[in-house]
Amino acid sequence: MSLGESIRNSQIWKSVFRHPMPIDRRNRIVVMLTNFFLHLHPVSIKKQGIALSYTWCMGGVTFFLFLVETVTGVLLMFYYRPTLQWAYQDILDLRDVVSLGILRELHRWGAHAMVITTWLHMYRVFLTGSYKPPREFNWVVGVILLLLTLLLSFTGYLLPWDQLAIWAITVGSNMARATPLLGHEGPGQQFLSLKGIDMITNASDARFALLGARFVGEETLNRFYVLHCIAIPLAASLLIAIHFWRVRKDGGISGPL
Amino acid sequence: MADKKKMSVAEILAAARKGDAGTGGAGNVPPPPPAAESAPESAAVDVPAVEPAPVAAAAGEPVAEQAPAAEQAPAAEQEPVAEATPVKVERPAVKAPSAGAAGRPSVAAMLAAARAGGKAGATPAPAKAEATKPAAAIPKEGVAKPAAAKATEKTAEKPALPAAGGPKDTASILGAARKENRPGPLSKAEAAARLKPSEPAPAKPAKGAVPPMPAKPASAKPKSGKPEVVEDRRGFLAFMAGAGALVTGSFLGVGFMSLGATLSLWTLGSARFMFPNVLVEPPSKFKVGFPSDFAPGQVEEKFKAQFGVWVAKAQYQGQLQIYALRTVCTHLGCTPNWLEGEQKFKCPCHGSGFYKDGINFEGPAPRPLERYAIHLADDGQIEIDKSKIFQEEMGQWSDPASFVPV
Repeated sequence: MSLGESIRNSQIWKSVFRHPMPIDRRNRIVVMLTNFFLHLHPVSIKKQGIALSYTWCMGGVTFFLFLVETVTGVLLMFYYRPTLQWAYQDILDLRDVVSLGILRELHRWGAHAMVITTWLHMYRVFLTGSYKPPREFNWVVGVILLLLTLLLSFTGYLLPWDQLAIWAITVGSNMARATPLLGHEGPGQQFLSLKGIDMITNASDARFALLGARFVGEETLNRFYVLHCIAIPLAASLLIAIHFWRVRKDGGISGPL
Repeated sequence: MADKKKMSVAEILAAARKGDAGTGGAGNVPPPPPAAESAPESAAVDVPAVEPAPVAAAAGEPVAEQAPAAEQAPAAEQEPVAEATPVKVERPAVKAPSAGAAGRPSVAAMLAAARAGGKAGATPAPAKAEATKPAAAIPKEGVAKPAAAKATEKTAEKPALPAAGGPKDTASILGAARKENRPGPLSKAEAAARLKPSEPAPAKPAKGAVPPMPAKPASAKPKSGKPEVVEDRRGFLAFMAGAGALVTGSFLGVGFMSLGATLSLWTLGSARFMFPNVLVEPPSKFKVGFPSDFAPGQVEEKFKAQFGVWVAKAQYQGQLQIYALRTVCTHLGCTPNWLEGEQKFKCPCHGSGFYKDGINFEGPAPRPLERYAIHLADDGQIEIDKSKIFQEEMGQWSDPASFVPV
């Protein structure tokens, strides 16, 4: 009995893999059905579902980049402290004195690439008409995922805490001042008042909720850090799962027109 | 059918068709080639060479009842027939009685009759009987059935056409019979016999009447021994074990190899990433001032909070020296306090007490406090090195590196 066979016949192996090696059609199906990571994927797919010329694999690449961002992001969190005292220094240290300094660059490049591939994925879905019924809900989920991707980029933008980051977020969040009703400089805010006292001020409007302060400061840094590392990735993970599941439930990857 | 013994298979077929169609619609069957022609071919075929004979016999007596067919068997046996031929014949065998009998018996009845005939025919050749019998009469269990049966059907349909309009045409009967073609459990002998027939098929064209048998699709081929896939899988495993995909030379192997190498490199890199190269913490070596800064008998507490050390200038074994005590209780690791009034270190956790020189004298602490390395730096200041520890119970306090003599 070879080493491989004895391993495959051991109780440990059999407790993990409850099927023989996938050497025939049935067992290949069983592998897909019994593996937690593979079961999201259909047992069989249409031929054009894996045709690069049709899908560009942009959804897959986007998901891959999401995984890359998750892994590199978790590693970066071991060294980064979201405080005024340390944030910028930690970014420099990640580049200069920590081993594998390319990790931070990978995280940044991956973020840029993810925005690009998300758009390209959306473009492909549009060109192939894959947003049409019965897939219209999955298109909506995809649009929300696009917004989450952009929000991830926006919140991650602040974390290096250099001049570029601070002023970019200042300018970006200033747009929230003009939110209708909820921005203190926006249209209609004057209607939200009690006995002549404005309810929407620069300390109670949408921008304030975003920044946690009247201007970009330590509160904002901490807030964006939590949004960037915890809240938005959690929401995105949930929606990604739904997105993939709906692809299957809506009949798989759409065919050529 | 005077000289049945000399009849070639084609002749038998023709006769069977005649009987089947009743009106002699079998006229379009090409003239039978001489029996001798097919003889060499059949000789090359090993297993079924004998068995076909009984079948042919059964078919050769289309109009007659089955019993005569069986009688005929021994005679027909001598006639060499290409292996696939008998299989061809087996269909007409079923057909024949239906056409012959005015009542048009049901397929089941015909099958039963055929079975009886097959058994009878098989008796003369007991050795092959087991494998042969089912093949002859019952397609379901048949030897070589899948291969030759198709060819048979095609030839059989031609004669059937003229007979169309009758209550039951050949095709429908065949269809009914064919339904039994489902693969079922096989005995070992049957399974072994089944593997062979796929090759002899090409022998057919010589007869002219039957088109060549189509090759079996890959999915229909029986699994014998170890399929090649297994070998591939083994190769894959070997590569996974590090044997190297370059040996197999497959692109898939190279791809997985690269993926594996990249992943392991990243894993190693990530592991290295977890060990910082720059530490933001108090240095382990620091200076605490000149020896003259300390009064005899003094325990200096001001370095405790930042460096975790008491600097004392006191007697140890009758000798005045400056030493650095580590502020960690030797019981369970709490931080004791220096009680100036009682001139002792007292741990708040479990009440351990230590004299000024660090020797334990009360409470659960099992051994004295520990000393850090201490020495006079070049500038005359006392420098403490926390990376080295000296323990009294091991006699290390006599080491000159553990104190500065006064």
